[in-house]
Amino acid sequence: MKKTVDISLPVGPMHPCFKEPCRIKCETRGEYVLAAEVELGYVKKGIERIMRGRPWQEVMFLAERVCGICSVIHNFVFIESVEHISGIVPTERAAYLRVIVNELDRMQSHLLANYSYCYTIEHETLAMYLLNLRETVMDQLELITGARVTCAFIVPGGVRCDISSDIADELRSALDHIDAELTRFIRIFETGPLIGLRSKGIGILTKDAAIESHAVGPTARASGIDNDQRSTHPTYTALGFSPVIRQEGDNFARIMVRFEEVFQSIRLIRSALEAMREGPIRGGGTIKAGSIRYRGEAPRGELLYELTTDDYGRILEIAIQTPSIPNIQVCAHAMLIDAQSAADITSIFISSDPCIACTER
Amino acid sequence: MLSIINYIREFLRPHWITTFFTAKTAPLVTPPHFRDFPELTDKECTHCLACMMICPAPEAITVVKREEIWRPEITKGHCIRCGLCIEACPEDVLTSGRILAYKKEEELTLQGTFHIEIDQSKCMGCGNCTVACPVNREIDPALRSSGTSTSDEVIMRVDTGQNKVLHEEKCTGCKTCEESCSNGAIRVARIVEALQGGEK
Amino acid sequence: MNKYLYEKDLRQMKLIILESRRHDAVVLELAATLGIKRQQLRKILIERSDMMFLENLPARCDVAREAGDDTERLLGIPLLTQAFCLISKEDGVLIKEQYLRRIQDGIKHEAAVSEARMEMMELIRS
Ligand code: SF4
Ligand code: SF4
Ligand code: SF4
Repeated sequence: MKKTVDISLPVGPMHPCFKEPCRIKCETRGEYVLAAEVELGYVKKGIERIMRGRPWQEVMFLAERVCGICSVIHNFVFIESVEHISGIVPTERAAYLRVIVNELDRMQSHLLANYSYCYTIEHETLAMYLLNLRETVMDQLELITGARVTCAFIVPGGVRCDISSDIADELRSALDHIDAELTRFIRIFETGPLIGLRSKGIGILTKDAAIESHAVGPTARASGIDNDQRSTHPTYTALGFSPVIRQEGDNFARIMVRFEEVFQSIRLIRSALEAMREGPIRGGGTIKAGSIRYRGEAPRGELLYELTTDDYGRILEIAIQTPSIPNIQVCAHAMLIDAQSAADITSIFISSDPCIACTER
Repeated sequence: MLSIINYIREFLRPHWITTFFTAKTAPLVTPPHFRDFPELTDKECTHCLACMMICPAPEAITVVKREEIWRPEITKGHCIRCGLCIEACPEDVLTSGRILAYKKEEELTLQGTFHIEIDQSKCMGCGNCTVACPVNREIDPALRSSGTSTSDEVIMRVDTGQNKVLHEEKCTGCKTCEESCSNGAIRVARIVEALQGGEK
Repeated sequence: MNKYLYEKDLRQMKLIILESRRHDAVVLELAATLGIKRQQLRKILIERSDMMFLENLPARCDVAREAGDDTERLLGIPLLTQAFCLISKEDGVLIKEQYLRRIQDGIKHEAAVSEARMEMMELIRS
């Protein structure tokens, strides 16, 4: 990119606030940010190449390993896209179980994102509270699937295992606990004057810039864009889903959208538990040849799988577009511009919930 | 002001105060539902190779004969603890977490059909795969030493410098041949179905 | 392009990004509208953009394909201005106006398109 000034302030590749390595190069005048670039390439996995020529039972695990934080949704979208190719419909109970596990995963991801934001603006108490609350969600995931991350829960035609009424009861009480705790934490977050100082009106993303860069997920929804793939997913529409949208487009709005989505997930899980009836959890079915472009809503936004399979159900071609790609790009090229202080660079960057692992799949 | 009240309310909760003074880290225990590396039960393995067929990680599980009995062995560095082998094994030889329990309760199975593809332009007729294939060796013990066989019952054999597939239906999908081929010429497509109930 | 070793290292990584399936498709598409080779466009992009921007190209193109009117889409102006950010929006409007004027003056369609292409290439190179 063309340089306007010759002072460039590097942030990263290793930075205490970043969970993963990436380098932001900011051109600054004083502390005022004129332009920013993000350079990657520290953790490239080449996972799309490894997936080629493999059957679903191997690609499913590779897909989960694209992103360690939101692993369930990769499994979810990959399996649903091969199901769409082959005309397999999951059984009703399995469809609800998928939603439950996916929403638990979304809750833990959002709590982790808000944890890192609070940590970045130096409110470590609230950060640790949120991280502690996330453990409750992780325990529920482990109880249902047997693993905290990379759960491998969804298979073509259904899910791996059922939940008994004991597990459902435990899940309900855990949800009540999260509901009560999080209400208090949000009260602290909303009313904190110092939090407001670091969050309100900082890192504004306008609606036009968001549309141009195809911003997705909470980052886009905080700027007033009604874009949520769950509103077209049949199971979610059956549960009465409607997206959370805010208009401000600043750091505060992005964090609040995530908090509200955690509550929404709690509601979705509760109504899924209500709506679920006894029945089979696996329907069988084999993968056939075809190609598809399939989208799903990851915690960070729209996740796109574009894949082709052959007659024996192996993946011939695959391209994954993860939500962090547009989000980090819009963050670097629209949100960071005009940041008033160097301390805001990290907080703005973290508020867009960047996940470098899935950007460099 | 509201914020200060909120903080005071937060720190004056009896729960907060009690946990503050009695803070203690809970001992680290592995919960019983944790999906750990598969372990053996005392059931007898029949050498059907279903576990090797389903395993997504390369060379994580091998079924070997030790002291005259077949036994699956797990390489811990390779196994990703997915638990699929437990679900696939028809004899309940493996167990981990609650997988074996729910598999029995809900009658879950994973079944596959297989298709062997040999890229003749890459295959140099060395016979590595025919020697490595555990099914081949069961059928024709002569294959333990050479890639050529006179038996017509084997899955595949090298004939006039070319590897020919004779009985695809006998393949168990264990991938051993893929892993032993130095040219990546043989590929086994495993078309697996996740089923519930006793049918099929 | 400056001479720092770090910047040089990035060229390889940027090329890897541009070689992946979806990126290759959009680069080919724009190269065809500009009438240049894919390698030339890749070179321009590698020099101009950072890695994050390159990663996001397919998504930006998806949005830009819906923008603009028929003439603009024919000339590939939304792709150039909005998705690839190679020329500014004002220049995009200017090129479109000049193209329309030429058509009115009775210049043949193909000739007008190739003139517009030349102008766009000049703007990109400058
Ligand atoms: S648990 Fe999974 S990775 Fe490990 S041996 Fe069994 S099938 Fe293979
Ligand atoms: S699936 Fe079970 S019975 Fe068959 S080889 Fe493996 S461990 Fe033995
Ligand atoms: S996968 Fe290969 S080694 Fe295994 S049974 Fe089939 S042919 Fe033999």
